Amino acid sequence: MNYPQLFLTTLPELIVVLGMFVALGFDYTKYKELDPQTRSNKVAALSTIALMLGLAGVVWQFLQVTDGSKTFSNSFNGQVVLTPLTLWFKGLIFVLALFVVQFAKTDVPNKHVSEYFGLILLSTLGMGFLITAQNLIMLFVSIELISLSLYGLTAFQTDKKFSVEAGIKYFTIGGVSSAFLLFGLSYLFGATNELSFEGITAAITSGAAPQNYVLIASAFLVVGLGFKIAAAPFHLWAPDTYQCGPVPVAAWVASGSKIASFFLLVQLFGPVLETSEQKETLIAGIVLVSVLSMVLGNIGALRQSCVKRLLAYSSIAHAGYILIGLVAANEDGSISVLFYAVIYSLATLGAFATIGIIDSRLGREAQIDDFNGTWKQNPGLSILFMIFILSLAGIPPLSGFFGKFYLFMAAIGSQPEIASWSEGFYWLVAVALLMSAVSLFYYVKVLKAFLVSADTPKLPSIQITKAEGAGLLLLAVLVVYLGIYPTGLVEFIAASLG
Amino acid sequence: MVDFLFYLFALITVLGAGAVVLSRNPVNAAMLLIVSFMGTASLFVTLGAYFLAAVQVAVYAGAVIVLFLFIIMLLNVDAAEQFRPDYVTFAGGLIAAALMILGTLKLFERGENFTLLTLQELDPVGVSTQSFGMELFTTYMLPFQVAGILLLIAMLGVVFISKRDKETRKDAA
Amino acid sequence: MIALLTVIISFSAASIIGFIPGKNTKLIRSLALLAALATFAASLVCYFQYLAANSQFQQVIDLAWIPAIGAQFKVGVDGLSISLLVLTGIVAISGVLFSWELEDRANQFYAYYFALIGGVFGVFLSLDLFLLFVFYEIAIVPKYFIIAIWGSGKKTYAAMKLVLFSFVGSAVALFGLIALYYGSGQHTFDLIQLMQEGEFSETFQLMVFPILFVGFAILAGMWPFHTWAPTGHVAAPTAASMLLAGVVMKLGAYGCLRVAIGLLPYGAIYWAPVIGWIAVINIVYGALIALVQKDFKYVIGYSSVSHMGFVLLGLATLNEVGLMGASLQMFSHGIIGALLFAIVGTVIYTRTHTRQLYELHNLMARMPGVCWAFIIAGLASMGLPGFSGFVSELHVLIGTWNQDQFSIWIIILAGFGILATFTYTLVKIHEAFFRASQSHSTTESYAPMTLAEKAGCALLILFAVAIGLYPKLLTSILEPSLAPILEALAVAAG
Repeated sequence: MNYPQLFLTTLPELIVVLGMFVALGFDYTKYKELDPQTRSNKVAALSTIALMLGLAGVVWQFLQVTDGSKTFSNSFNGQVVLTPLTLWFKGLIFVLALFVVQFAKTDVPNKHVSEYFGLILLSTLGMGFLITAQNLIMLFVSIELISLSLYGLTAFQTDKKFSVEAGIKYFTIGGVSSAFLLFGLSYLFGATNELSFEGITAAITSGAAPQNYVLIASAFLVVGLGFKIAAAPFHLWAPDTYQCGPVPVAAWVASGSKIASFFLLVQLFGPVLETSEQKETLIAGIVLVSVLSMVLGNIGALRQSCVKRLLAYSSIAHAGYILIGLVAANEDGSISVLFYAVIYSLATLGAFATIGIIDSRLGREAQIDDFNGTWKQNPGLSILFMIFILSLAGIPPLSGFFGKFYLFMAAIGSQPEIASWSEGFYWLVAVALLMSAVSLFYYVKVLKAFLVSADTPKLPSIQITKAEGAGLLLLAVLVVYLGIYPTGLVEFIAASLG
Repeated sequence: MVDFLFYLFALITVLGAGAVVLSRNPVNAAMLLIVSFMGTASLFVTLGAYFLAAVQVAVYAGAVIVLFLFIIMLLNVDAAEQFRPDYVTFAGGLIAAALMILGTLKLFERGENFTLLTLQELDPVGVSTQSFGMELFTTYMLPFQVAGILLLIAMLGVVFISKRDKETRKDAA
Repeated sequence: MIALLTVIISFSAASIIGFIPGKNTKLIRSLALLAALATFAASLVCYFQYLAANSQFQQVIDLAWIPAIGAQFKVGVDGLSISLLVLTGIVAISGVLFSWELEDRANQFYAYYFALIGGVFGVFLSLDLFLLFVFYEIAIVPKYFIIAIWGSGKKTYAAMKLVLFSFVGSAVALFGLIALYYGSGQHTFDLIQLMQEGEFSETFQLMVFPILFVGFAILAGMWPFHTWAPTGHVAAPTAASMLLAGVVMKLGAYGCLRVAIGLLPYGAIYWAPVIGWIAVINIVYGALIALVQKDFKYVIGYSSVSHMGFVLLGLATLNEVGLMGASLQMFSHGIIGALLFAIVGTVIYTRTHTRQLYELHNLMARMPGVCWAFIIAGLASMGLPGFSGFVSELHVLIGTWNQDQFSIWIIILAGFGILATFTYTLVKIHEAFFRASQSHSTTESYAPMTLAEKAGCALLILFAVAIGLYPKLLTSILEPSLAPILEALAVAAG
């Protein structure tokens, strides 16, 4: 065991944990008598510093790894694998966490400020670990780290009955899903006698592992991870969690934890789907989940009047789209899944943040009607929101369009020549396209309230803080930029995957 | 023989867990949980994982259940309301469970069966408590530490969920 | 580069005008007019450059863009696209002129307006199918806002219907495009490369052609997917109706010609009779429905559907005369449709405040200038000699006659369609302008046309007459661009 090496590989996480303890300590002692908003600002500033230092650590590691002078890769039997790709995604998680902290600080649900930010930091930690984990034990522990923090965060509005209820719902369903996951993992271990992804892949490819056990393990993993990415029919927790938890938390669940889970899906299933003898069966199962998610998500979103709930259903639908890239089971598929996970997270984080800002100023849950005429008082906010929503709807030149297009290309590319409609994924893409048309209906419905209605606005002119404004603007710029010129990111992912 | 013991202990575990869910009295439920835990511990014994079995009994069946009982008594939880299953949900659950079991069985037919190895067969040296500890603090240092952070999360959760603010208390009164 | 300027100017105009405070109406509309004039000027420069050097594609810009999916940023123009660029420029200018009085949220209006126009220009310029599709979809969303905000009547319903139809159409087309990418064996979206080197098997062409054609034709108002067009056109504000009828429907037809027929000639030959039937249904059905409409704008809306039928019929002939007719009809209907919508939607409506034909009385006496403008437009729309409509419809009919695959009934019905067009145009002109009413005997005059309106009408009529009298203006640039498509068709026919 090389402890100095372990210290260096986990440096960013250590910084973040340390920062969290500092924040907790100050909040419990020095800031004790201050009013909650000041405390929230101070603790948020400390958390921001911790995350920034952590990010600097990630960047340092990234430079070291790409430089090749010092290698961190595949340390500790796959427990922390630092490659350019994992580090890039870990950095992204940290950046998203920075955004979430900025959005969260204006409206902390109750007086437990430092616990709130502490849980956000700890979940960031879990997501970072999950991305670098290529080892079953580390995988499970980090998933639990993420889940437990998110359960807590969802239930954070202790004065609101529904928040606690949503937290308990999330907790129960999440617990069951963890059980499925653990069961699948144990079968995977039993079949391959390996803990690291590398060893598992080798065992499966070489045929040493019994196929039926691998298949059962994969089926349970699909179920367990299906809960985590809110894919139908494992999506029942999502609408309540997104609607009733604090909005920044919903944004965090929809963005950070999604990226981490999809990264894991690609890492875990990518090789299995490409090589396993039994891939047909497994793909059929994932296709089923994908279609169900797209249909139930989009149809469910149609009749929502609460915007957060609508976005929750839309996130279910998006999980369905992303799975299309997974079933492609080729390199393009993996790249497109990762790319879409990134841009989806950016857009959905932006959309939730906007809703959160509006909710907090409105003092209650915003319904679609509440946005009527927002363009009059808050033109900037309306334009940003339009960018996020249109990206989710997949309208060019925003990144959501290219992301979807790439997923479809990958799926069809896996079997472009077909003799009948049941082969290949033309039909799956057709379903997805049809469902995109359905989704346009409700996205446009939301935008209509924002930009079309000439009613007197219910919302007063909103003063957004500098941090919020900068965050939203940056997210919007990223969403537009990745749509106009996705090549950089796509090629980076392609190069680092291969 | 091992097969027979496995099914016996597995049955105890599952039935115990089921009884926990169905029992209305929280104290009874906690006691039944011990039964389930004991079943698990016995399963560990049949696998040769004696240390885990001991931990299972000491920590779960012992400490955790005692904590549960403490809380139940402190909060003075009454018997839960009569368990009234929503029949549609109930049927849905049953169907899902049946499908899952059938699907799993079907998948087993896909390939040759193979026997799982016990710990001793797998790694004759590595099952001692000492080597277990060594592994935990060297190879699996990182997951072990992360599990520590998990406990921290639980602590934070307890703070904000249970700690009442002065004002809210005033409001309540 | 000059051709690309049209797109750049449009999008810059959209973003700049969008940020000008809405109160500065004068500044906004002058800027808008300036931008529209600039795009028109750029398209004219392209036109003359093309006349000077009659080659295949000009001003080709080819930049690497997204190699992962074989998409390039490749634009260029040939005669077909130039004719449509010029058309878009004209309609853009007259659209601004006819919305001269618009004051409500003017900045937003022109932001959406130019975003839409930029998308349209982009489609005509793209030589890469992915890029083409991107612009095609960019043009969808602004339409919703323009109709839903500044429209009239059931505007949100109409806007949503239009957007969903467009989106479904584009989704179907997208499906076809991805199939093309893999079916060609080239793994590229490059239109020129696909035309020259793409090897599409016959079964592939038979399967994919209808998908692509229908996908694009939904936007061209093909029966039975035309229902978005009348409701959308009627609910839209004038400038948007002009753009929709004048230019946006041409996007679909352009896609059908350039992508579906140009790349899959064998499939086109196989499916031509079916398209021919649908096209005559469009012509006759549109004309007959127009005949019974009571709302003046609906009359024009259905006449658009009918006229687009001629475009589709021309496409289905797959011969030189017919395709030329279709291209001419795209231009001609663009001008005339825009003119009709402008007069009905703005000039008459702002004065009478009604579009119901039975509420219009003695207009000939009360606004003679407007009436003459409309009568000229109506005659042009009927296809009277001397107007562009005559040239194009004649081409289409000759092309239809020469198409051996068509049953005789298609030709007969097309002729009947022309008769029906005559009928409804004359009947509606009579109902609107010459009907005296007993109860309303007022002969008080309405305000005369404003300068902006006069300029807009004059511009549109000028082009309708110019093409009508001297069609060579367009045919000379269209001929070389249609040649490769005809060549591909000849090869496929074997």
